[in-house]
Amino acid sequence: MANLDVSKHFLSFKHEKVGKKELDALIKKYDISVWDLPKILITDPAIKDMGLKPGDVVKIYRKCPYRGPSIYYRVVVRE
Amino acid sequence: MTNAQIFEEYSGKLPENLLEEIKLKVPKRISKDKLKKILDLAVEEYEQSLVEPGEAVGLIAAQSIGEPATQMTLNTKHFSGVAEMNVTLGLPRIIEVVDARKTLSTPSMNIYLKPPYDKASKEEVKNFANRIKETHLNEIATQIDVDLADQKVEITLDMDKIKALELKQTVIKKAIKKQIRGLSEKDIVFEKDKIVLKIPESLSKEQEVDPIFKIKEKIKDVVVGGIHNITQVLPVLENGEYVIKTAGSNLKAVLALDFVDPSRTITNNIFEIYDVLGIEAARQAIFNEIYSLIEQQGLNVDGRHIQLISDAMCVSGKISGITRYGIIKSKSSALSRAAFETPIRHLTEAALSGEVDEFKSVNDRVMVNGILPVGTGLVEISMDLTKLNQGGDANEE
Repeated sequence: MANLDVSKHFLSFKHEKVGKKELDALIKKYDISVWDLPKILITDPAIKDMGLKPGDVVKIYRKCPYRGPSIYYRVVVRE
Repeated sequence: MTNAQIFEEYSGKLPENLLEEIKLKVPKRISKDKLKKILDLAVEEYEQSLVEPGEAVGLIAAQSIGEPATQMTLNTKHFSGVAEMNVTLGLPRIIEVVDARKTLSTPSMNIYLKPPYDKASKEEVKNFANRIKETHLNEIATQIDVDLADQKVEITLDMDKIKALELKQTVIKKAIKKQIRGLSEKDIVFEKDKIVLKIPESLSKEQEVDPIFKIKEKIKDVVVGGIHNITQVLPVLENGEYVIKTAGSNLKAVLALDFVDPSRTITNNIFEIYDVLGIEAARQAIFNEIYSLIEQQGLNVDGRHIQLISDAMCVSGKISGITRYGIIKSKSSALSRAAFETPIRHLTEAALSGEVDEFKSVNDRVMVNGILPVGTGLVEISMDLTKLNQGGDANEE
């Protein structure tokens, strides 16, 4: 029970930490600050074991019925 | 360069689904030039069909969903499968999802079984279903007697049922002790197929009405097994396997059961999905829910509008409904909030806290007859003031 693997569920998508280089490129491309990105709580079940800290950005590999595989970014926030 | 490499080259320019479609439709032995030409044309078409910057996509989404929604049936109940279980559907359900209500009118789950249990017979599945269902003591009892002289309550149990539900004596004992006040462990005694409750004297002197009768009534509703909140279960044959449909929902507890498939089991309570699986899963659940509701009604709404709504509901990392407590609250402009609902309250609150409104949003600009920050109105000319001053006499800007 304690170790329910959330990522196995069909509604879950793969979450991955975005590296510094990729993050800089992203910020530059859209001319934004990290805090302008959609947010994800640090306590979110999908990322809580990844050891992230507020300000980190996660990359989400979504499956979109129109585009096919697509990527979404969220910034980790505390509350 | 092979054709595969050409496709590779275009992978950044076209979405993968489109590329796959072209790959399937193009003849196998097409020449490279022709393939390039086709892909170039596809890119051109694709780029033209993209939403332009500054397009009021939210407005278009609202209209695209709002118009067909007026035609939706107000008939809320639908009896799924055998006429034993009903689920809220149609417009009332859409409102429930979009408002992000925490308590649903008909919470329900679809529970799938994990292999090898997915091939189980109807009887076995029924057994699993009964183990999920919340069981009260009166369901496993055949008789409840009161012995006034000895101050005892005797519960005769249906042992076959207890065996089928895999209930243990200690579990029942704990449940009774927890849910009825004043009884200690030694007051609950098991005798073969009976539970004997001795009413302690401390209890009997407290009240005027003999507490024994109160306890007799209370004991019937003690939950001894199953999963909290799940009030009804119904195994239904779907695509060659049994799915247990429930009334009531408790995703966390159900996923923890050893015979449940934790990858497919689903609830219609978005907040439970959020708590157990996270914000991204909740967003997908909102999308699936709204999309299937609209589709069931035979209406045709492009899913991208629904994607926009579900994204908007989940940007903050929590689920916020499209209400004045949800995403409207996060709007920075006080006038925009006032324009949605309860204007006086929003305006007084804004005045009390000294909020500043910069008139940047669409709502605000409409109010003052300004240029809307939409489409061409989004573009502003900015001037390099340092260069202006170099010209000499630029007193006014």
